[in-house]
Order: sequence, then structure tokens, then C-alpha cells
Amino acid sequence: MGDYGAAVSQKGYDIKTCADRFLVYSSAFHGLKIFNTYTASTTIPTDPNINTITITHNLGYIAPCIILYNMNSDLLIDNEDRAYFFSDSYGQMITHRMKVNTLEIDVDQWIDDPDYGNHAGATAYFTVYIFAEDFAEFEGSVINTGISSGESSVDYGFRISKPGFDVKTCANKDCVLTSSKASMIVHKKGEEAGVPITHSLGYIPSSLTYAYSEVDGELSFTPAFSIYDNRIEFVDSTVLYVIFKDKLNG
Amino acid sequence: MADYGFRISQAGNDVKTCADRKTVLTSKYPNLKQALVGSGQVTVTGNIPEVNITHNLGYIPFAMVFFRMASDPDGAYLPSPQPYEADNYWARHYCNDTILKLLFSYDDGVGGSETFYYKYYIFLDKGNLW
Repeated sequence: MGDYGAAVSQKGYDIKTCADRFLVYSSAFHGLKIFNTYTASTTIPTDPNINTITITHNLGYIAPCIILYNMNSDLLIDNEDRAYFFSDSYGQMITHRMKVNTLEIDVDQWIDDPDYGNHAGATAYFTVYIFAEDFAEFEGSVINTGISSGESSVDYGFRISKPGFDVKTCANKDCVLTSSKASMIVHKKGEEAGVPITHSLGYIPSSLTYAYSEVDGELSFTPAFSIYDNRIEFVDSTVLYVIFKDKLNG
Repeated sequence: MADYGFRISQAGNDVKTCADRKTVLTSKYPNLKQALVGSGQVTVTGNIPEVNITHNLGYIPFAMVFFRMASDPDGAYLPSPQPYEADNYWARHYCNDTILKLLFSYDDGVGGSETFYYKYYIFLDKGNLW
């Protein structure tokens, strides 16, 4: 069967010849669809207590997630609002467990202060993204690795707005998809254990990798992985992963 | 409201009946969109240099950051954050409503330096919905 389907390139790139990573969208590849966003908070307890936030998503499957830590009420007195990616302000990982129907986030006394735990009693704030994606095995082909075309100042392209937003006037952030902004295109996703995850991109791609416990049926983001131009090596025994068509090196 | 919109299913799935997770694209759920992508390098000698990347979005977005260290002969990229307990380096990052701030630390105990090569993706999506 010949190549078929739909594709949208980023502004300034020729849709017929540009590399896959310069596409906004292609029906040949998966995207990362945002199922829902949440805000969540809890009081920072005193040791050894742990306060657990439970977000019910009811997806019925384990999905990728992103947790942004928006600091605690003590720090917000002297600092501007911030969004830390999966960590507190000290770089300690946010303990969490994505399950089939819930996401749990643990908060203990040591958040934002691993030495003294001085924030007990303050409120910790989070923003959470959960994606409408599973980790069923998928690997997209490499259709094109070259690039062509130059910049264009002419506005053109493709736009789909979120429900409730006027596609002609809404901001790009209120679009499901817009050719003005690149999306995260999934090259490969799935589960791996014991051996490195291989990929055929020929460059070092970005990735989200999660440690997976089949016994507990839960996953959590892990920073313990290294990305190479043909593989991803990881420390955990089993991981669920998403590899994007985005080049980190050069 | 009646069902409407745009839907493209993954190969082998019926676009009319498949689960949302089996779609390549659906107007029901927005895709993550990149607002700003870039790369750079910073050399660290014990102290913690701050790399500020202005995004001008006017709200707090969120970002994914990856980096590699010049001393790594394999050139592997790691994600930020890397916990401060780890090895002799750490990395973390955050966004506020004007910048993405990258923080790297390196301490080999003898005053050596390390160069971090980084790449960042700032998303159009908000990182603080409070």
C-alpha cells in the first residue's frame, strides 16, 4: 500500500519533504492528547505522616501524566508562582503513583526542605496533566529524515479549536491543534523490561519514561534513564515509555 | 450538546466507535503544543549558575528539559530533574510567568568544572492552573 493519510507541517517547512520531526501532525503518528487537567493541594504533614492526594480519572487504564509542583504557601509569600516539573524546589522527586483509575501524590514534611522540614502546616499546590493515551505497543515509521524550505512570514495553515473556542480568533493555547505550533509527535511507545529500549530515529530524541510495577499496577515518572541515538537505557526493572520525534542533539 | 468535531483513528481502529485513546487526533482533547524550543550550554564550577530563558507568554507554562554533560563520552541525554542526592551533579528547572529557569550543579570535590548542554521545550499549556 502506498503512503496515504493526512499531515500538517510546521510553518516554513515543506509538507512533502520535511523531516518527520517538523510536522505538527501526521495520521501516521500518534500525538499526546490531554485527557484532563487538575489542580490539587494538601497540607504538609509532620513526619512520619504522609498526606496523599487522590485524583480520580476513571480512564480504566494506566496513562502518562505530568505533575507540576506549584510550591507551598510558605514559599509563595516571598517568591513568584512557579511550576516545577515532577520535583519540588530542591529537586526532590514528587512521589506519585498512576493507577488504572486514580493518580496518587504523596506529600511529607520534607518537601521543599529536606534538611529541616520547616514547612509542616503549609499547603502544597500541584497542577496535573493526564493524557488520553495508553502504553500499547506502537512504533511509527521514519518517513522522512531530511528538511527543506525556509521561513515564511505569511500566516497560513491548519487550526482546530477546543470546544467552546472560536477557531478564527482563539489563542493558540486554546487550539486542539494548530500548524503555528509544533506538537509532541510520538515515534514509539510501549513497555520494556531488562533490555534497553531501541529506536530507529538516528538522533537522540526526547522521551517520557515511567517506572512500572506490574504487581502494584502503578507507574511513576522516573529520571533514571539515559537517551542515546539508537536506544534508551534505564535503571528500573520495567518501564513504560513514550519516545517523541524531537531531536535533542544539534 | 450533540457529539461533533474532528476525529482520526489509529490504523486498524474504527473512527466511529474506537476509544479516544485509539485516536491519532480528536477535537475532544487538545494535544500538547510547543511554544518555544531551544538549546544552549553552560559551564558549572561548583556554584549554581542560573540560565534564564524568557518566554513572554504572560502566564506560567511548563517545560521539559534534557541535558548531557561534556565529560560523558557516550553523549547520553538525561531528563531534568535529576535529584540532588544523585552522584556529583543535579539539575532542575521551573517556569514562572516570564522565564524558564535552569539550575545545574556540579561538584566533583576537587573544584573541577562541567559543561552542560541542554535542550528545552516550553509548552503553550499552563503549568499553574491555580
